[in-house]
Amino acid sequence: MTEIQTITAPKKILFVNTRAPYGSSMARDALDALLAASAYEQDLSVLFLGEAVFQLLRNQNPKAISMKNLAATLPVLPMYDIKQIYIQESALSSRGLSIDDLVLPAKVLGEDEIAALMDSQGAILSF
Amino acid sequence: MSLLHTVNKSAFNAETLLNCLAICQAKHSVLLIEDGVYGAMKSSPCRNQIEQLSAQGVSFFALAPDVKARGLGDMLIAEVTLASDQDFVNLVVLHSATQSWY
Repeated sequence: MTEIQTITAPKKILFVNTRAPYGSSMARDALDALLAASAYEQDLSVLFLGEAVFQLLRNQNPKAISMKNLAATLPVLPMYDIKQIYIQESALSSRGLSIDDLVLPAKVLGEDEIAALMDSQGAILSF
Repeated sequence: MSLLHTVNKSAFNAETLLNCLAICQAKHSVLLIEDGVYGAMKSSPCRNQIEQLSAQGVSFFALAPDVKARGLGDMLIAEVTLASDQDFVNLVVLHSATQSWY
């Protein structure tokens, strides 16, 4: 019989968002997976790349297209102990956006820092 | 009669809107829907083309429910008019055919 392994240090897991909200279900799926994963006391980070920076824009109101407001749920992440929230600097600037346009205080990263962040993970889930 | 173009991809990560604008002629209309509405932003990579074509008689619209959903209300260029779902229907009826870019 194999012994049951004792649980060691929490695993570092990075959730990478790459899609704009509402055009597909990917943004919602990422958030659902992230909130579910938060129950397992792992070391979670979330990164918004490219089009995904649009998920964080203020003043979203998708009532008329019968979708749930993503920007209303994203600010709860710190309450689920998800405090490592990152955003791609070039994705923001190329879309004419600044950190003040966002619903969450995310840490802005350059491409080298994003590479380092990914290198440090035990697992990466891309949405 | 003239063409109505609909575009549903973001201009920031797809060439869908660029391809549409390349064949747009005076009296055509372009309706941006779903993620296509990002193409109407002041920071849009297609802003210059939209402004030029608008001056040449192409009409530009963005579907209001999709604009509101994405929080883009005050970020759109002046040449793009907001259209309701009812306006969408009217545009389809008023044009000879609809070319859907997706």
